[in-house]
Amino acid sequence: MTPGRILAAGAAALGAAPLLALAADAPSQSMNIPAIVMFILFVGLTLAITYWAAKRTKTASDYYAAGGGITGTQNGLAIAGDILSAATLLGISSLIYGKGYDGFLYCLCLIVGFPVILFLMAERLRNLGRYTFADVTSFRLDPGPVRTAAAVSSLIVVIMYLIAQMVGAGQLIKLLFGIEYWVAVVLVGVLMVIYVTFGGMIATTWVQIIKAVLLISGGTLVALLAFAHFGFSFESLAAKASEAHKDGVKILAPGNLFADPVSAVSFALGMVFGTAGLPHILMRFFTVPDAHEARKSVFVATGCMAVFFVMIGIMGLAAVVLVGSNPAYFEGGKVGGKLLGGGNMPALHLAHAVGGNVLLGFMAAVAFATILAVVAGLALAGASAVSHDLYAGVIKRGKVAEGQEVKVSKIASLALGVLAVVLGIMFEKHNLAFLTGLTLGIAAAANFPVLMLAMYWKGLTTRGAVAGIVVGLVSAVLFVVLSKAVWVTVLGNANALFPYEQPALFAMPLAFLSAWLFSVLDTSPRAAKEREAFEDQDVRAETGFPGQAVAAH
Amino acid sequence: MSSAVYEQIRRNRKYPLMVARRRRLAHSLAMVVLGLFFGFILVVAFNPKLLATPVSDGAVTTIAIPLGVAMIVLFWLLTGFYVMRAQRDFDSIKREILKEVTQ
Repeated sequence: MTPGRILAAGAAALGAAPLLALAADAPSQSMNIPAIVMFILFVGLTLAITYWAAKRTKTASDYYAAGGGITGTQNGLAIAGDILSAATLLGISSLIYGKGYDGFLYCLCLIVGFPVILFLMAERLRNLGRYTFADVTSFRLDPGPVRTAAAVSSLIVVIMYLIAQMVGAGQLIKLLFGIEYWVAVVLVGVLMVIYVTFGGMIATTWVQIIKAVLLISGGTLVALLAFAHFGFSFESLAAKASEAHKDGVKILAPGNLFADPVSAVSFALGMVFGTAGLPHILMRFFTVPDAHEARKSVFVATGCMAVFFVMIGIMGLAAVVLVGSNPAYFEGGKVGGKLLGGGNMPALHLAHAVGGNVLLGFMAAVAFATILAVVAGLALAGASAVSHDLYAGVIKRGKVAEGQEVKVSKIASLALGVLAVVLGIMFEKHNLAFLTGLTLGIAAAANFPVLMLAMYWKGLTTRGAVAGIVVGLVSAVLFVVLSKAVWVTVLGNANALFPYEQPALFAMPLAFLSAWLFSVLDTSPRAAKEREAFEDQDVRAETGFPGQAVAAH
Repeated sequence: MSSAVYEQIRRNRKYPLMVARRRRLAHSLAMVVLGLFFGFILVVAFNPKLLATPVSDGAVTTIAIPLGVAMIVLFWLLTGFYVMRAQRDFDSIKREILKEVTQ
């Protein structure tokens, strides 16, 4: 289970009990006024930013990459915002609430991708790419086939990630604000399209920054208020939590989250290298002016995540005591029964327990804001794959006016918005537990290996790159389809054909292997030229010469 | 045009030095991070009991908790270390090289 899976699966099992019915002191209240006020403030502010950003979005570079005018610190916050989704806030804290230390392992897996990105990728991405990571993959290769393959795998990752977010969003918003599921999904879709279409990367980045600041400060506040109940002593918190939890002291050490060690290792691989292959994360490295700012953004992002993950660990354990033993948070007042609002609620109940309705409202609004910001980043990454890679790079062979390319991107983001809403509504009742595993698996197997080889291995040719992407994509999809989560749970077969839960451990080596094999077997004149072009590419990757013009905002 | 400049950069005696130093730093840091992390994951996967050892006699807090937090903090500090080293050691050499070849 990955965070998104937790949210999708957990939320799918929820009833529709409006959250605020839980407020023990005001049982008749059906809507949380502070939450609605704060949510409206957030939407108003982000729409104002979008208006401001729209006036500053003149060129394709402004639209895709904020003109390269985002600072390292700003970009770091935005990257942290992309990773810290509603699934991270609600899913991981509820996992810690339910399983203890195993939930914290997710945090560790989520953060490790970033040092790797910094040491091996960030500078090279910035120095070689303009708008999408396919720029880097296809730098010295034939753009037609390579961009097509990279754009297709980007789009698949983006769409699946979007579905998971949309379904989670619909269920969460329905729960928090008491509105219909489809209304919530449409609302998220409409706001997402507005941010992306009018404000491009500038608006998308600022929405993400604001949300990251709100989320990290809100999470820290809840965690510290909760920690104060234990005199800021971790040992006292741990002792009380293990007393209150049905599993006792077992929650303070890793348990049996995975069916077998192979799945555990495969999961960790998928999380680390999947993060390093997510198109909307990679795209953020093109919004900063140079390699130094690119590096700095990883430092800031990792720091934000580190703080947040420590806080979420405290929140999860504190919730075991403050939520888990308070009858007011359980259906029918039965401690140990079903939590009001369902399995994803410990973080929000905890906010209520330590800060009353106002803090609960604030955190609920932050959760909603988080969804909006994450889907906007995804939509922009998907739209760029369509307009920059497929339309401008492949169909028009790079010969297209900037205005036309941006127009196609806006149409693509609208189409993605409609698609996300339709699929979000279609999959409301489905068990989407497999989606996040699949998304990260594909990112790790189809995007990451060929991108790394393109940057580091002279021998990579167009044939090798396409083979690597296709094999990574197909094998990741096949392994997930044949695994228990789809083959048994969704398709109703008796036994899984692929015995493990996660594809990365198997799909990644297959991708590397086929990229290597098809490259070394490629003796075409084109391949010879591509190998020759590596030396110049490498100098550019190391030095960033010649630089690109940078816009100031 | 840029191809000629790239050729000159490659021939600059400082260039291979910078590249080698940066690679050594980046690759060893990546090894440290991935080694520690996957080492930890292997222990979690094959021998989770080991991590259930209490930090001290009578404590409920297990060594898994400080180890996990320490790794998160260490990884963050290592990113800071790399950012600092890269700016101090590599960016200045890079600027010198670019200045020499584009004059």
